[in-house]
Amino acid sequence: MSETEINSAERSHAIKLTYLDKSVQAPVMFLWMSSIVWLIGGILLGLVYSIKLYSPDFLTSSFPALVTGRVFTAHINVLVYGFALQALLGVALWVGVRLSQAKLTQSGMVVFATLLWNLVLTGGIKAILEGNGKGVLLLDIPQGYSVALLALYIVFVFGIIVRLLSSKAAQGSIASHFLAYGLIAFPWIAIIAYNLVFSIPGAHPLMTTAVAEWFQSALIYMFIVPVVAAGLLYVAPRSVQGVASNNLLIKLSFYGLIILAPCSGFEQLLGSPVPYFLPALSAACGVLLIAALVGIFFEVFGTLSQSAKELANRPSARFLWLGAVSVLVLAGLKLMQTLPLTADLFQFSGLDYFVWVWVALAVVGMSVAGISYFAVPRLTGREWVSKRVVRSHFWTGAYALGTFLMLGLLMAYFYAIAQQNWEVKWTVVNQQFTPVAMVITTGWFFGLLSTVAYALHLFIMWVRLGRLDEEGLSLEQAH
Amino acid sequence: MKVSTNIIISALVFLVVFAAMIAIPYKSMSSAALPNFDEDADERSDVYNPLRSGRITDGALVYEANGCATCHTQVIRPTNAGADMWRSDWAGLVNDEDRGDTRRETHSFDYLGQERANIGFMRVGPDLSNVALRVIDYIKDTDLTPEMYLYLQLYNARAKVGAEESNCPTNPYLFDKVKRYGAVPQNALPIEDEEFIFVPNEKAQALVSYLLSLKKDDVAPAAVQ
Ligand code: HEC
Repeated sequence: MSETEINSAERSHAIKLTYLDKSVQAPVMFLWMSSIVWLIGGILLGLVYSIKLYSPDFLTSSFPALVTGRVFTAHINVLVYGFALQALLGVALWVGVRLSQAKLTQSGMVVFATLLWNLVLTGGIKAILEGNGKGVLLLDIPQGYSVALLALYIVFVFGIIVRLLSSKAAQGSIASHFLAYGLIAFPWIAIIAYNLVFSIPGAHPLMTTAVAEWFQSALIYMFIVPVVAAGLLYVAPRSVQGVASNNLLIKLSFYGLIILAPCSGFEQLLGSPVPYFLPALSAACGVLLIAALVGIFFEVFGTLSQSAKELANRPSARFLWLGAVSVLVLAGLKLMQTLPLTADLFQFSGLDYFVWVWVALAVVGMSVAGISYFAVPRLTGREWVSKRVVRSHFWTGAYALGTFLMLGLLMAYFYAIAQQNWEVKWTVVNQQFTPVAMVITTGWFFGLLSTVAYALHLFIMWVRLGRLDEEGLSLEQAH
Repeated sequence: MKVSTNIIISALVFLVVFAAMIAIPYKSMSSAALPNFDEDADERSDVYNPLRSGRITDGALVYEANGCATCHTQVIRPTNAGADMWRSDWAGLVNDEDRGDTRRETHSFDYLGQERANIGFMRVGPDLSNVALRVIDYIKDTDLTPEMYLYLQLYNARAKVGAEESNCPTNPYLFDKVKRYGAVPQNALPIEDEEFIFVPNEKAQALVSYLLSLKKDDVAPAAVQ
């Protein structure tokens, strides 16, 4: 090919991408904007919850519905179904049309579905706060609302799944495989879990609980992680203008994930009287599943490392890096939940809470931030406005994650040790829980700062006040 | 490989895992056999029938909907998994007046009658598997009934003597606040208030009845004791 031919091929590719981006611009921006609003709401609930853990009457007299247990439930549901799910659907739409190179035709309908999603979810969260939740973590939303949410989910993803399965362009990229797997898995696990937990008469109470525990794990490893991985794998090479690093490793990780994710998740029942093979087999799957997570980390990390300069200066590359590290840390947390020694010790000390926090704020939060720092300028045709805002998003976010991970686990460890002290009265043991709760407050405080910074920036982009500039925003210090 | 091929592979994997780890245990456990007494060890040989009475099913639903399980567990793990068994009044009683040490780990039959086993998320408050027997102990030298003790706990845990620091939440939604006139109903809370009385509502009665069913006091076969 001559040089002019290459140039014109490149140009027509670029035009094609612009055209694809245009078709998803409205729904993706709306999904991301509303996911961030839910994240702020979820963080506020997290603050209320954690404060109530050491001053139980905080806000009780003015808002009697804010009972600690209900606030906790609402908090987790908002983080997962308000924030993570919408953020990931935004990723799925954008990455999906780009991978399949087929534009979205019903974007108005998706925007409308997003609006409905927000309304229905608000109703569901309100029901939880009024004491009408179903009381099984992440299956709490009452039936009418749940069915509506599921139907909306199918409206969101149906077209994307069809494109990923049928388009020639999509087959070659491993990201398509992760994305299709995650998007297809979610409704199945949700329908199965909902029915086995609530609808089948005569089930043993322990088995319904076992299924509920499995669902939580399946939600993370069969839906959230694969979709996050698809986003990271698609954007990482583009954000540093490099190439994907190691084909074999990431393929192995994909097969590892699809084989091991479904059978892990019963470890949480360790020590309860379920048939022993369940937690044991599950723990074996869990340990191997960790290898798949590590594989995803190395692939993304390797890709980003191709250009130290871009990694340091590109907002998207930095956040993708943090997202990849978050997946690695998730593998570590999974290991703690799986190895009998740590699993027993930490079982009731708050580790499971920190895992949910980590999944929402780190794995989804940081990865989707990285993806959107890359995607939003292309969607809106404008550039991010302020280095300083990006930096505060990054650093306060990193503080939040550090607080939860380092201090949170340390305090949970002390609390776990205190629980083993069976000669000490429980009211005394319980005092060791206050530091855990205070760490949670601190973590969410940083998380709030970080998220508000990002929300403002995203809002500016959403209302088309971004910079009209050819150059992408770089965090390079002026010399 | 094509995306569709991989989706089919993953569907097959899922089907196998689902059958082996979810469907089969789910089915076989729903008819889980109760343990038998053993002629030699127990001097009787019928099937053990765990006695539980109270509003277990609807009380458990109130417990779940209000997130009690986010702070309270209901499982006594074997001693290799934690120190739950060794506490003097969690797994039974270390010194039951009639039967000595009645402590034992949780068995699957302990959850029968409720829709789900409320194993719990964190252990902020004490494990509640044996809360009813503790309550009976707490009220020994008072004129409170076990029900009233729990109503007061749920109305305001911090009003208990020595529990001013308790983190157990107040639950105003469990009590009807009614104008005081005429005779006061028996189950009204013993709270000094000129104007109002506080009466446990339907939910509160179900919840407390459920909590009072959480105890380990009957004689189980020696094999599980
Ligand atoms: C924020 C965590 C938290 C939540 C949520 C919570 N509790 Fe508690 N609970 C505690 C703590 C801490 C104690 C120990 C202090 C005390 O005795 O009040 C306790 C004690 C209790 C006790 C007394 C147990 C004993 O042996 O003395 C009962 C009964 C109880 N809670 C029931 C409930 C019920 C029912 C709910 C749901 C409506 C609930 N708790 C929700 C933290 C919690």
